Amino acid sequence: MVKAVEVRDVWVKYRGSNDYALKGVSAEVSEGEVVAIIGPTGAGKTTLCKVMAGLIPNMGVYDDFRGEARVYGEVTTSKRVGEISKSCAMVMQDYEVQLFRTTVELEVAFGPENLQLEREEIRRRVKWALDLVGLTGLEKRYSFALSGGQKQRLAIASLLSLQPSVLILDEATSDLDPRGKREVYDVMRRLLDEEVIKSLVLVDHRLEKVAEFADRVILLVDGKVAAEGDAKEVLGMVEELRSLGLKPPEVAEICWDMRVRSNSVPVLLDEALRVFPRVKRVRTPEERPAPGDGLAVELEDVWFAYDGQNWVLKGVDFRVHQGEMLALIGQNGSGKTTLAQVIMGILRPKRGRVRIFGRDATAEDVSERAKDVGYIFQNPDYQIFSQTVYEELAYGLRARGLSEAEVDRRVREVAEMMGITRLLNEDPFFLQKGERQRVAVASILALNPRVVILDEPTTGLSPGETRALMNTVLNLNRAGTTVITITHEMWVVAEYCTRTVMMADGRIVLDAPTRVAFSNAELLAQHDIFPPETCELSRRVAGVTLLTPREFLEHVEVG
Amino acid sequence: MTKYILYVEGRSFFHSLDPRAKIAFVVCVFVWSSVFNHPLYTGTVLAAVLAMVLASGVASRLKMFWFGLVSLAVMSLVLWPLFRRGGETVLIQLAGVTFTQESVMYALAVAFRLVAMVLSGLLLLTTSRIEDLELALTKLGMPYSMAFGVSAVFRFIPAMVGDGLTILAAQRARGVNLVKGNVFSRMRNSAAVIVPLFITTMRRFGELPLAIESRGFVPTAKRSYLLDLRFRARDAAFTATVLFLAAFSVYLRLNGYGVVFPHVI
Amino acid sequence: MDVMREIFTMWRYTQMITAFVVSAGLYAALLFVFAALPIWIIPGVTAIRPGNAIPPFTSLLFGPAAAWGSAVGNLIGFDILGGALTIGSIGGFIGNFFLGLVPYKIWHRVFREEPHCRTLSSLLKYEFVILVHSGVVALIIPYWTELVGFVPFTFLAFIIFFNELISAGIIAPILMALVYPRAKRAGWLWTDVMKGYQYTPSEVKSYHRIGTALVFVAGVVGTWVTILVGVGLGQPLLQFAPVFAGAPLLTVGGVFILIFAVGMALLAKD
Repeated sequence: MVKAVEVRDVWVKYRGSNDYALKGVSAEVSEGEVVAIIGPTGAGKTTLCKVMAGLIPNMGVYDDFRGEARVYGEVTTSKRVGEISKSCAMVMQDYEVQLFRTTVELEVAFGPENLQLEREEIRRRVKWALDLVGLTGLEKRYSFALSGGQKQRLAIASLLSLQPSVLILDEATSDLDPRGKREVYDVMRRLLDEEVIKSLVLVDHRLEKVAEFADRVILLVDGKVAAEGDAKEVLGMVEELRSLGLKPPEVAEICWDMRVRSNSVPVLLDEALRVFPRVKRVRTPEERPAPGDGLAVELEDVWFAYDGQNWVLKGVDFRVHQGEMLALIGQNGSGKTTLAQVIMGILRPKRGRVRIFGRDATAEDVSERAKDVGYIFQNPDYQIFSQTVYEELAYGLRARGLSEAEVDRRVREVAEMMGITRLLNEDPFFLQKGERQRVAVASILALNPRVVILDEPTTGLSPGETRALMNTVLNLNRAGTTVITITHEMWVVAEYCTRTVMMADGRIVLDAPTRVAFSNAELLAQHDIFPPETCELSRRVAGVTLLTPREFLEHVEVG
Repeated sequence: MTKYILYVEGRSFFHSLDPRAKIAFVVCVFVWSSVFNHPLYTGTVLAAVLAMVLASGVASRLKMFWFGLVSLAVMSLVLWPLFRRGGETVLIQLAGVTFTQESVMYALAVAFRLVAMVLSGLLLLTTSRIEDLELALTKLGMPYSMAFGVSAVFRFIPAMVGDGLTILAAQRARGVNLVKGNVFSRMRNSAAVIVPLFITTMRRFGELPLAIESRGFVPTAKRSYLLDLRFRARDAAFTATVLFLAAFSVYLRLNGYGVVFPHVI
Repeated sequence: MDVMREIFTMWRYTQMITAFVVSAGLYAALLFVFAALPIWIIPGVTAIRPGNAIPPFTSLLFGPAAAWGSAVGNLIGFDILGGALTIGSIGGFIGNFFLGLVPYKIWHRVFREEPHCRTLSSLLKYEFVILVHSGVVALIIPYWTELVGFVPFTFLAFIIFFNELISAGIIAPILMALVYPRAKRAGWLWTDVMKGYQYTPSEVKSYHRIGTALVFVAGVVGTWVTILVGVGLGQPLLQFAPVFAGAPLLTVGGVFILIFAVGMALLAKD
């Protein structure tokens, strides 16, 4: 088999960092193969991808680089990055920075223009690449006006126009909504089926997707290859993956725990269904006790438009009880964030009423509302600016005019709760994203809000980091705080939220206990929402909807 | 989103011109309106530009600029009689300041001049795509790196404004006061928006050079272009006409036409 | 005489182009972000632009990229998207270019301390640079608008000087204190990309000191002298025919612009 990419004993140390990001990694990608790289945060996945694409060490500054990478036999250091992308190109997580031209067609044409191709050839390649990613017809559009999924597909097209045979997708769907994720993977399926690309390297925390696509999996831990092999084999190492804070495919977890095997642990739903034994007994799952009667948030026929014409919220009626833990789901642009910002008082409804704990708050200013409601934004960098974590947590408290003694007490208390006490004197700028997210959450919780809104708090976090964060939130909820979580991760909804509200086109289209909501697979699918595999598996083998692998284990007995 | 793109789709004569010819037009409007300081003359220039705006069907796009244009004109009408003093025909004396007919006419002329310039610039921007202007500037000799950088700024402004507004909301939600309080505390608090915006942008843009160079970009290298600009006979005729008119206006001025104050612009 | 070669050679570095996009984009974007919450000095007439703190801030991080960035950011954010593209924009372009150029140029020639603003002397040096850059732009832009008969010098110089000085003087040091140490460690400074340039000088040459002094004289003393000429002071002294303010003002301002040019030329010399 032709070796497309070979990495030999590579060591990488970033400028100013204390440790090596890669410590003697060797890896290969053959032509015709889909290879996935998995591992916890900081394991070196992105670094390895960049080495394969020749971005490291050709660009940037490194304290040390050893070893070599070859693309189709040629050492990457002997060529410019742009030359390497003609055979091996990398799609990055942040689609925004990969689009720097104004219009769709110019974005795709940029590569061929740099190669000094003839105008006719450029035109041909633009047409071809846009067709492959399904963006034909949008040539003259400005790229900033595209949806996330369209942007990432455009980024892919703009690399395809260089006609690479290997594509590297480094968490390319992490920032996307469920529809965007599906669109990107549909494109990948097509590129592989039509042999537009010969090999694919994949980094994704959603190991269900990895199971569906990959032939081979490389598990990186702390800059070293911890395991490598056939996809089924590596993904079936349920215990190991769990202990690393990864989330094995849910069917694999269930089959592993119930000792269901074919040749190996099934990792795909179809495979599991084929070998799953007859179910002997199913216990009806108990729901968490319903919250009290008091209303925390009440929206009555709320309408909102940013420009006064295009309604983003179209008559939303919405009530949240005190002590509820609720998920707000739906595609981007459906009105979730707008709804949340109306609750927070950042936006004022054009029509309708908002009540917070029974009082009419429709015309109230955000600073007033902040005493009851806390809002945690998706990107922790949107809030953090102080020199130390301590200052950051103290900022809101001081703005409220509390005494220094009281500020100190609250800061230490919330730091303890979020497990960041040891970081109090650190500069938040140099913390990892998961830690920064905890700092941002802590800075809001320090203000003791009775309602907390989390706007996609887990984007870009590994499953382990996601769980750590959500467990804290759950504890808060158990202590009485009302929680509204906006998220695209259905497993988070299944595991943590008792009620699910789905929005589409400015309206609430589904509002039910999570179990009921996730039973309605058809309606969800219409809106491009896909519940965790456990739901489907339990429905097919046990006739009930169970939400998490653990719940499955506790309620299903097999013969 | 539309506020970041001024371009209006259209098939008018002005739309169909080569951007280089349009740039020549704007330069000539600047010349025409600058060489005269008599309101009748600069008013004629303004009328001509206005007619062009109407004929190009972009007037409705300019709605949001009306307020600015009117303030510009008013500012000129208020300021110039105070600062450009002289002339004999005294109109009125207020608090020891003499207003002459000449200085008021001059102010009016400058008001027309300013509005004509702004409108001609807007006419260029509403009838040309940014990418065509980028190409035109490259063909006029601007290095590609620079033209590329400038259009990238257009591309990223909406994203940065979006981030900025979200950061503003995030900080207000945790009690950073940017609305009330004295000027100094509000300015200090604006750092709570600027710093996160800068850091968010830099984190993101750390990858931008990688993305750009992976697509084969070499700042100093030659390249080809998907888009094409053709300077047709019509563009040449149009450019020649406006250039002639510009030269003619200079000739008129040198012979003493179109002025209130002959010794200033 | 040496030209400031880095102003042109920076376009050969993709990272510098990126730094240019950041400085221009932020400068323009902040106009929109703060447009909703104006901080008025005189309500309805003139508001402080917090974005004015960007040029002296990006200047010390990105060097020449910030000079172009300030010029283009102002052109796009204010003149183009704000619908104010006139012949005055040329002066705006040049003036803003110097807003981004003067701070880093002075710093990497005469100040051996880093601009972290965490010590009094570092802070004072930074405030000095901000004072000079406010004066320079308050000389150049109004001079141009007066020259082309657009807006009177005196009025505009007064507004620009205080607007720059107040917002940049208060906000920019906060930004530097919070960002500079991080930027340094992350390798975002212009001298990290453009090797061969010194961020702070290893030795301060006397002609660089003179250059700085001349730029200060032109920007700060010159602007105010010209403003005074504009309101009619000292005109009899200068013996100009008192027909209108134009001629003496342009002459006096022109002298100071010349002094500024000589100062910059000295700073440009290696």
